[in-house]
Amino acid sequence: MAEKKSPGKEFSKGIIKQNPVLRLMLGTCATLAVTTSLVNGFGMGLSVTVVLVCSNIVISLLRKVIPNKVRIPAYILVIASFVTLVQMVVKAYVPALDKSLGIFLPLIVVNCIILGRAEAFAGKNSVLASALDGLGMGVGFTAACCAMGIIRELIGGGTFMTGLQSLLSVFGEHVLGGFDGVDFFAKFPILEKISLQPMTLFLLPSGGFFTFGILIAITNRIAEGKGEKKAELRDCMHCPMAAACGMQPESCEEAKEETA
Amino acid sequence: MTETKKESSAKAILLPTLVLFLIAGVAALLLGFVNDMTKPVIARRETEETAAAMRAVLAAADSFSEARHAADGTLYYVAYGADGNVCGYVFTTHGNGYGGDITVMTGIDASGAVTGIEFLSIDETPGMGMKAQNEPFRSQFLGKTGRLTASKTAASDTEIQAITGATITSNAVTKAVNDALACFAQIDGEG
Repeated sequence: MAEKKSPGKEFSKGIIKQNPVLRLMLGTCATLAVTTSLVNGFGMGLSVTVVLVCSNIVISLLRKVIPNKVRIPAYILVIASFVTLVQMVVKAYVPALDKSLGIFLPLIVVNCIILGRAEAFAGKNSVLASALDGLGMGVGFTAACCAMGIIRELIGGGTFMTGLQSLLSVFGEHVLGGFDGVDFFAKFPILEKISLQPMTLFLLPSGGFFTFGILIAITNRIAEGKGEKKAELRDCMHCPMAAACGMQPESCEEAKEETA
Repeated sequence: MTETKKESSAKAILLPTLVLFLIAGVAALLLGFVNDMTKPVIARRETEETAAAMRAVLAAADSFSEARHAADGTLYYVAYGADGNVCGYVFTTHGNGYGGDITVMTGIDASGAVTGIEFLSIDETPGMGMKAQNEPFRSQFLGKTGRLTASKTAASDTEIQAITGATITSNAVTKAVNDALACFAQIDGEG
């Protein structure tokens, strides 16, 4: 992270190469839990992006003011404030999204993508770079959530984009001609006649893990094709969690030798 | 030991405290401001949602008034028809589903028959228990009286056909509706 990157790179690295969910393995809990439909995944992605960009900007602005000793509580304070803010706004203007995301909306506070970016990036870099980093990571997270949502909704429920109107209700009634998703099984009765059934498994947590694994494999393949090295745990220097890890390199080596 | 050392240790304690205090103060101000803005909107939306649900479960009613059960203080709504007479009641009851509490609003007309049910909160497995929100499960409750049970066959009049693979959800919803019917029986008995 030490070398200077162009603003475009700061933004684009979060989408594939360092995709927070599929490459850095951060924030997987929320990803697996809420992506039972595309609309849910997108709503979650959007909420996280807003919080991520705002907290990255504020933390970057305050990076010289916040003493090193209390940086974690200060970061959490900033993040929690933005999450509460987003939650109140969502509750007031998009109540359907608040209902479907449930507890995972306030739990963005402890989403490790946000604290991870604050600690690894925003606390050390300029405001513009931090904002772009947050936006890129947010877009990467949203893309991952949407991909999960599309696959799980389509295979698990035989539907596509259901609940769209509840997300669009901010803009008034009957936006986009009142399009509220497609139920393929209701639309094409032939599917049921050839005894085709949606695989409910994909809506359950286990199906979420299947989808997640396949998406990780695909993303790794693309990232390696772009010249990104394979993620390996050789020593602490190469560990993606090194910045936030409390273990000293010596003890890390010891732990490795013991298990070997 | 020396003056400078003392000073720096005081600074090392006070400065982080002050910074954290300032951040918390700004955050509290901002949140208070946004809360002031969104609170009336949220409250209005909640009353609207309750009103819409009440109209959905008891379409015949013209107006509603809040009432409390004399014995245990449960809140329910008395519905009045266009002629000003009591035409039914709306109860909010709970059942223990597979994914937590299921809150059901039940409309019951003056003769004791269910006129409609509406889910206020439900968090069941998608594709299984969530089917309780859809037909044909939901409309089964219409016109039912007395004490209901969920079963696989739904042979008699007081039996509800359970959803395949979601017995717990079916039982929970049936229990909630039963509670509403029991409340009605008590109120009806008193008045």
